[in-house]
Amino acid sequence: MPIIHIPNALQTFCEKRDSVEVAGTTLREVFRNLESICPELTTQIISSEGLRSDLAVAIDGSILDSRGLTETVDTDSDIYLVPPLGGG
Amino acid sequence: MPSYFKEVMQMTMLEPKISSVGTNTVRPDGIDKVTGRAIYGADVRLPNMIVGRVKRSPHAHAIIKNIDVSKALALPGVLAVVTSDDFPEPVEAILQTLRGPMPAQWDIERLMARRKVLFKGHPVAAIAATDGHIAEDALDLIEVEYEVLPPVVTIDDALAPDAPILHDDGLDSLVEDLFQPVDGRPSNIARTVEMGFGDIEEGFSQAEVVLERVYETAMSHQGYIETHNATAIWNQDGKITLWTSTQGAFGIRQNVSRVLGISLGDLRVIPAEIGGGFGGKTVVYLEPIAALLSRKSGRPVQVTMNRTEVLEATGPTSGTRSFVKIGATREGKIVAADIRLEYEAGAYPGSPVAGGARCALGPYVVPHQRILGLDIVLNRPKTAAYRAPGAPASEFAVEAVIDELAEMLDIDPMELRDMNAAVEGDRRSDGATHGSVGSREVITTTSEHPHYRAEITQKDVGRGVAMGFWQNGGGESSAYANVHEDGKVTLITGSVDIGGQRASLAMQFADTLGINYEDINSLVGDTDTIGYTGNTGGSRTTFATGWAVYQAAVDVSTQLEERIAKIWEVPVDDVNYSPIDASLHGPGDLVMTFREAAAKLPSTGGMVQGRADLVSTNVGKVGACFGAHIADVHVDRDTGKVTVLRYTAIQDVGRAIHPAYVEGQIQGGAVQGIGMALNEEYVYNDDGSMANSSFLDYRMPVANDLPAIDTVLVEVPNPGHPFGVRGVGEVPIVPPLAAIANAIYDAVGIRVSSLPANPESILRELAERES
Repeated sequence: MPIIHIPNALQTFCEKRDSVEVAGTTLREVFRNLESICPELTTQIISSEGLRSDLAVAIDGSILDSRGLTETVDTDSDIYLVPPLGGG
Repeated sequence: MPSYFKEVMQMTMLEPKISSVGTNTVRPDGIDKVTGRAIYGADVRLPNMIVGRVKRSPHAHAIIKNIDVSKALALPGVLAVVTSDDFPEPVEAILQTLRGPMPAQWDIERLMARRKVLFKGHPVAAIAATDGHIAEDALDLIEVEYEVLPPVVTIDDALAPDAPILHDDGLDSLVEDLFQPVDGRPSNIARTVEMGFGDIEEGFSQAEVVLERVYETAMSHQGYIETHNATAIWNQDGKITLWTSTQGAFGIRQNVSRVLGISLGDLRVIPAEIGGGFGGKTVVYLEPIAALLSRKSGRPVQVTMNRTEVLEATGPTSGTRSFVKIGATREGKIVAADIRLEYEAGAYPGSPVAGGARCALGPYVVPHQRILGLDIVLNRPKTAAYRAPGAPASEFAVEAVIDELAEMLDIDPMELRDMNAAVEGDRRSDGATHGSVGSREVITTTSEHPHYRAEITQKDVGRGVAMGFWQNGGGESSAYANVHEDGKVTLITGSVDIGGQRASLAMQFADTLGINYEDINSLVGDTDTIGYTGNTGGSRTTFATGWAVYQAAVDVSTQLEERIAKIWEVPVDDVNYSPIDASLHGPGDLVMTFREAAAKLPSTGGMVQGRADLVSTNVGKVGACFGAHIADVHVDRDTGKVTVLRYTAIQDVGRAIHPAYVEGQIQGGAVQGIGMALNEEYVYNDDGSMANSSFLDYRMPVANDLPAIDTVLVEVPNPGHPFGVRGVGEVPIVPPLAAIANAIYDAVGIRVSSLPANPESILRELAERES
C-alpha cells in the first residue's frame, strides 16, 4: 500500500504517527481512505476546493505540478506532505 | 504536459521587438526616494494625530503583580492608556502557525504581557498623548509591580535539569506534547523536527572517515534601517485604517484582525514605503496597540520604535548550536550524515529550526541522513524570519565539516562538492526531490573563476569557499492592469516594493505584451484595492507576483482580441495578439497596434482591466536556488581583527529580470552573512538584559569594512515560470558564514566553531593554539 509520510508539524493530527499506510490508486482515493484513519489530518490536507494551496504533495519525490487529486499512485508509492517553509 | 508549460514554451519562443527584461531599467520610485518625497510609515500625518509610546518590562522574566496607570492617566495631555485588559478576554484556542500549532493566547500576550513578562522589552502598557514628550513622561508614571524570576538566557540555561520553565500557565496543554518532557519533567523544548531517510547506522558503517563537530552561531538582527511604526485610526463606524511598514499588508491584516477579534472587512491596511525588512517586518508589534489607543482616544495615533526597542523587542534570528557528524569514503563520497540542531526560539515557540533542518544538507546527495531539530524557548525576544530563516546556521556547520573533510582527504574543496552535488531528481531531506536547479553550473563556474584560481602570496591571508541552498517560496499573488486610451497601463500588485519589485514586475508585464516599460505605471495596492497577496519575502515576489502580472497581461491581450474582432467584424479566433510587434493581427493584412487598440476601447464597451488572482504553485513551479561564495581574508595576529580582502558570490538566478537588482540582492545577502560571521551578536548580561542594544555597540558591517562584492549571475532558467525566474534574495546570506570561517582556517590554521569570529575570540583561539 502507498505510504503517507507525515511531517512533525502535522503528526499531532494523526496520533503522532510519522507515516501511515493507506490504500488507493489515485491521490483522491488515498486521502479519502485516510479520512477513516486520521480524519483530522485529512482536513489539514484537503479543503472543499481540493488540495490546500499552502501544502505541497510529493509522490515518489516529485512535487505535483498542479492540485491533481487525480494523480495516480502506485502500491509502493511514497507520498510526502511538504509543509510551507517560511521565508524572510 | 500541463497547460502552463505549453504557455511558457510559447512565451519563451517569442522575442518582442521591444524588451526590457534583462536590462537595468530606471526605478519608478527612485526619484521620490532620493528626494525625500516618498512616504514612509513615520511620515504619515493625519489631522489631530497624537503620539503613542510603549511601556516595556525592565526584567527578562517576571510575574506581573500589579499595574497602576492612574498617575499616567492624570497627566495633562495623556488621552489613552492600554494594557492587556484592553485586548480580548483570554481564549483557550489553538493557533495554526507555519511552524506548528500553539495556544492562540500567546499570540496576544507576545504583544502585551498579561501574567508574566518573558523578555526584557516585553510590552506591559502603552500611552497615547498629544506629543511624544508627554507620552514618555507618562510612561514613567505607570507603576508596575513585578516578582522577578531567574532568567533563562542561553540554550544551556534552558536545557538545565533545574531550568525555570517559561510557559507555566497551563495553556501549552491545549497542544498535545507542545513541550517535550525531559526525564519526566517539564522542559523548555517546544517541539522537535525530525527528517531524513536511509539507514543511519548502515551509512556510517560504509564510511572510511568520519568527522564529528559542534558549531554555534549567535542571535543576530536583520538590522533594517527604518524602525517599526504604525499609524491607526479607529473610526466611530468601527472601521479601522492602518498605515505600517510591512513586507505584506495582508498578513498584517490577518494578524491584527485575529488578536483584536475584529472582522477582516473592517480593517484596511495600507503598506507605506519600507526601509528594509529581511523577514523581520512580517510580524505585528505596534499595529494592534496603535489601533486600541486610537479607539480609546478617538484620535489617529502613531507609534514608532527607537533602535533599542527594535533590538530588544522585535524578532531577531536564533542563536544556534549544531552537532554535525558526517561520514565519507576515502574517495570523497559522502555516505551518511547525522545532525542535531538546537535553535533559540525566544520567548515563544517558533524558531526557524525546520528551515535549518530542510536546508542543512541541501547542496548534497547524502543517502543515509538523520536530522533532528529542537525549538527551545528562553527569555529573549521571540525570533522572527530573517533571510533564509534557519539556513545560515545549519549550512555553516555542514560547510565547515565539508571543508575539513576536503583537507583530510586531500581533495579540492569544490571538487569534493562537485562529487556530491545534488542535481535534478536527487532526494531532498524533506522527502521531495530537487526540480530543475543550477547546482552543477554554480559549482563549475566557481571552480573556474579567476578568484578561486588566483594564488595567495601574503602572510596570514587565506581563502575559503562555501555553498548555500534555499528552497524559495511561491504562494498567492494578485495583479490588476488598467489599460488607458493613450496606450499606457497602470499596473497594481499587492507586493510591497522592497528590492525593486515595481520595476521587475512592470518589466515582465511589458514584455508579455511587447510594450514599453516606460508606459507602465507600477503601483502597490493595499488590502482594500488589490486581491490577496502574500508577503514580499521568501524569495517569492518576482516569481509569484511575476506569474500574476504575466497572467494579467495575457488577460489584457485576450480582451483586446475580443474587442478588435468586433471592430473588424471577424470571429475572435481569427484575431491574435502578438507581443513580437505589440499588435493584433486579423485575416489578410489587418493589423492594429496595442496603442491603436487602446484608443478604440472607450467606443467599444469601455476600458479593459487585466486581472490575475492566483496561487503561483498551482500554475508554475518554484525554482530552488544554489550559490557559492569565495572569500579572501587577512587575520591580524596582534589584534585578532579579520579583514575581508576579496569576495565573490556566484549564484544560479534563473533569469535575471533586472540584473542590477539581482546583484544588489546578492551583495546585500552576502554582507549580512559576513556580519553574522564576523561581528554581529546579541550580548546578554546575566540578568537577561541585552548589553549592546544600539548600533554603537551592535556592530553591523559598514561600507568601510568591506571590499566590493563581485557577483556572477549564472542563469539556469526555471522552466516553471514564463520568464525563467527563480527567487534570488535569500540564498546569498547562507554561504558567507562558512566561507569566512574556512578562510580564517586557511589564513592562520584556526577552525572557527563559534560565530561571530570577533577579535576577542580569534585572539583566544590563537593563544590556545600557541600554548
